[in-house]
Amino acid sequence: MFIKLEKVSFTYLPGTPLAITALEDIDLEIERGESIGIVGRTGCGKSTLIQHFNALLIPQSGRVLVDGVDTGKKGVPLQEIRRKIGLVFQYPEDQFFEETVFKEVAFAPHNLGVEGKELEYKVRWALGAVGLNFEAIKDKSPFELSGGQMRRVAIASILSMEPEALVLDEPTAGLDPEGKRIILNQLEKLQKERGLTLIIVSHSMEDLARVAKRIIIMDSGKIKFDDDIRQVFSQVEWIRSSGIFPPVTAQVAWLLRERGFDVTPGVLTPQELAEEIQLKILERKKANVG
Amino acid sequence: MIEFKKVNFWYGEEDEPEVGNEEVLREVDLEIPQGKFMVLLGRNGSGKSTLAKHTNGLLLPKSGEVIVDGMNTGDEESIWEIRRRVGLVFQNPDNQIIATTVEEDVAFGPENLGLPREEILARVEEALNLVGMAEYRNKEPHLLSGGQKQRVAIAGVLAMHPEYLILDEATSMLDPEGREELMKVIINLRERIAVFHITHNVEEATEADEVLIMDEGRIVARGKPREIFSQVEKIEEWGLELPQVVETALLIKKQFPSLFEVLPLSPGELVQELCL
Repeated sequence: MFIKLEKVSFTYLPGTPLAITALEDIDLEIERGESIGIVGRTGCGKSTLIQHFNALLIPQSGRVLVDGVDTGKKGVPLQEIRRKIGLVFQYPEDQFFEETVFKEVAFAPHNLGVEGKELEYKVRWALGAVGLNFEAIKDKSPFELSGGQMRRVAIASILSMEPEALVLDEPTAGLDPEGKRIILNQLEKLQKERGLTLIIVSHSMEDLARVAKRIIIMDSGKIKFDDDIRQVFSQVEWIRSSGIFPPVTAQVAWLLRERGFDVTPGVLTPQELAEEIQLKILERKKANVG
Repeated sequence: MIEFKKVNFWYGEEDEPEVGNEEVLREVDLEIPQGKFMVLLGRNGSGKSTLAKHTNGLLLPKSGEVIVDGMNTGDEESIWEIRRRVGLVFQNPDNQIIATTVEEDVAFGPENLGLPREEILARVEEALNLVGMAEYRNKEPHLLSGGQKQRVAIAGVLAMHPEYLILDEATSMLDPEGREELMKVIINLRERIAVFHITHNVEEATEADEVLIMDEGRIVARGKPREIFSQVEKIEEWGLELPQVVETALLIKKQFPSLFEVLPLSPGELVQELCL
């Protein structure tokens, strides 16, 4: 098992009147190469959860194992865990500080002792992996880029460590539809072609419908639901109680089924929904002719 | 009415736009009438926020003018009355609340107008009711959710009895619940005052009286949501996407051209036609 959580609990300001339990007895297993969406209303514990994956937070009780290594044990090489599991925070471009895109993306591997040709190779690859042209962008200031480009440079600056998992907190927040599409496509490609494990925290179910296969719903510090994305989104009414609104397509499918129009529940994209509806219209026509 | 007359704007002190410091607004002509719900869409960097900041004189045109109910935003004597009439709410719910309770925060604006105490209390009550936050009046703002904070920010604007509410990506940092709460509030306000809502979320545009599209500093299209979203190729050119219901309907229409003579915008409208 790649990442395993066993009865993980975490409380902020424990033992004070302001104590807030962010995670309660979380059990979770993540395999290499999975693409997972983590959803839930603000304050449900999502961000606390993902910071446990790369040992930024250590469980107060229970344990987290990354490739079998307990992140809470004394003497564990945390640097290696953090290289393996790259974490991209919300609005990561707010943390830019270098003068050029090259230096920004090179920062982490350079700190790990990578130099010269090898460093350039890693930066080139990471920028390419987010769909940016190395030659055209390497000498620019990260601050003069568009919002979408900044976000991609920020992701590249984590990819340059060649992580085995990429954990992203709201990677498309604030981006326009085009910027969003490019990032989601590149992430999907990395997951499919390189077997990168992808874990995305998002409020946009439409975004997750494009890239995730498995959905984890969190509610008040607990995992309320953990299943295949189609299973999750076919239960339109139920999941609303956790503050989750299924993609518009799944809502339409649900309404149609309520009115006796028997499409498959949990359809994820307009293409799928349209095909389903077209099939049903044809069936109905045939039945009428017959 | 807020009127933009041939407004040009670029950042910086220079008298002319230059290479590397291009115009952010180009010859913008725009009317925001009273009482309508308008949505402005456009890619990152198209000039939407810059335009919003012109509506109440936070930014002033380099050429052209912005007139609010007959007053010029460049006229220092009118600026406070303009800002009372035109309220802005921004993206980040954590940056807009200043007081230690919800009630005090909403009272901040009317207090500065020098109104009598009873009037202030009545306005705070009214504004909190309009955004559905009356029961939170004694709460500390930091205990609220993002959506609740944004509703408090809107209440603070409403307590000024404005004519125009300008929302600059006010829904973008909220979770789906917060977003829905806020959209309900906005839609309920539409007959009372003008709401001008800037967003990247095309689904939020489907209920607008009018949709405007901005690209490269210009208003490139304006119309009812159905008119705007039926221009499939243009939508892509502008860097936007179709609402999912529209996309689905257009895909079905390819095979069954007789369906959807009127483009559906909501799940309900789509289902209605299919289940006749």
